[in-house]
Amino acid sequence: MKILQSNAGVLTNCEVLELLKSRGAGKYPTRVIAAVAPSEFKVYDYLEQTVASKQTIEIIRKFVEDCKKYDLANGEMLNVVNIRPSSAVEIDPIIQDCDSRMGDRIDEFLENVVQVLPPHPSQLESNEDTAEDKEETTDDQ
Amino acid sequence: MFVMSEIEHTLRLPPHLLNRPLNAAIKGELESLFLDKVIDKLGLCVSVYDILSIDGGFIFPGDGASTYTARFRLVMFRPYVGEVISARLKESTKDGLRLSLGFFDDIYVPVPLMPNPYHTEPDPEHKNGTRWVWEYMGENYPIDWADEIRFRVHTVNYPPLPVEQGKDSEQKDSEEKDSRQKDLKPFAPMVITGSLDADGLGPTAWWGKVSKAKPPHLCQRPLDQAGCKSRDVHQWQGPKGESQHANPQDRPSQCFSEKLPHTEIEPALPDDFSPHHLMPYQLAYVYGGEQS
Repeated sequence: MKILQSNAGVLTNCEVLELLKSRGAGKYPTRVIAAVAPSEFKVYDYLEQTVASKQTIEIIRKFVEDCKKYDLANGEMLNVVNIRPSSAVEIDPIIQDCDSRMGDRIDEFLENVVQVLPPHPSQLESNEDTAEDKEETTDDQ
Repeated sequence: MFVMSEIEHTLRLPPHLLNRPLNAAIKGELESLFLDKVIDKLGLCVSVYDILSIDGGFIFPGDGASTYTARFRLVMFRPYVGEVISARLKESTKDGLRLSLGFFDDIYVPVPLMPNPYHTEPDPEHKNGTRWVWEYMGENYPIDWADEIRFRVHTVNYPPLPVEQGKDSEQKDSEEKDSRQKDLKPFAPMVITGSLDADGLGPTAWWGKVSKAKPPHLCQRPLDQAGCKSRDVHQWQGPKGESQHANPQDRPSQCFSEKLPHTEIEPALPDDFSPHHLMPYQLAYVYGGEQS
């Protein structure tokens, strides 16, 4: 075995999920006869639970295009797409030196994330909460 | 999290596969060779992405099968240092947490990387289990089994295969007993050390609660309130009163370089590395009666 290139490209969770789906992975009971290995099904099951299940390549392209102005590293952008943070505190661990680099633009960035990337069904509730929070804070000011 | 790797491999194609199309036959062989296996420094192979070229087909003298050289791309699970990943709890013991992604189980959160300050209590639901509780602003936030847990990748290690060494029989016996007691865990070829010790990490439910109380970007951890701007430049007063690792560059735990981390394979850690080399100020918590 010869490793020609250890990093021949980075894939988002969504792309891996699409790849597995194109191989025939799905939520049906006849998994044993599918042309997908059991280990691939485990990955599929994991990804199906994440926000990647609602994303499409077009949405991610649009998001990356929209967020070029924030000057994020590719890895950070990938991580934001994979995690889909729904509040500023969730962005903080993803972006290095978040305070100094993003500053006041973090709310704007967050809005971009929330609007462009579709939420996970379980995230819907918490989104409403953060929306309420925002209203409260604007009232205070 | 997922990266493609380009690999060239010479493989023998058994003759019973000759009735299948060459591409499909080679792909099947590659899958049986690589799928769900860890390649050293490359990560866990998830899937064969595509086959770029197939050369050869040479039959060696005395061999009843053709040998091909294939160039192909694999989808590898190789998180970069600093990446945030959501996982589920698999084990919770006094030594820390073990997290699982479903397809990958060897993610450990050691005690020094737990959210801080913390205390532990016996888990009511699991016998011999320990529940970790983060204390924040006088409130307790337990790490329980229901939630998705976000962790940050601290290191990715590929331990070398254990080699049995020939030794004197007496010595061997006693050492074997010792080693059995020490590590009961089966060998794992790839081990991820995760960190929960930053804002926004830990069970996702925590941050829903906290952000309700305060606008999220104003949430400050107790350490930050002690007058330090950022956690990384926090100065630890050593036993002699001298500050150690005041400069973030000196810190052994700063693996996250300015360069895009996933463009390279992470540099190997020094041999004498242990979790206790991590953040010195956290040791103060460990030895300061937290874990008496």
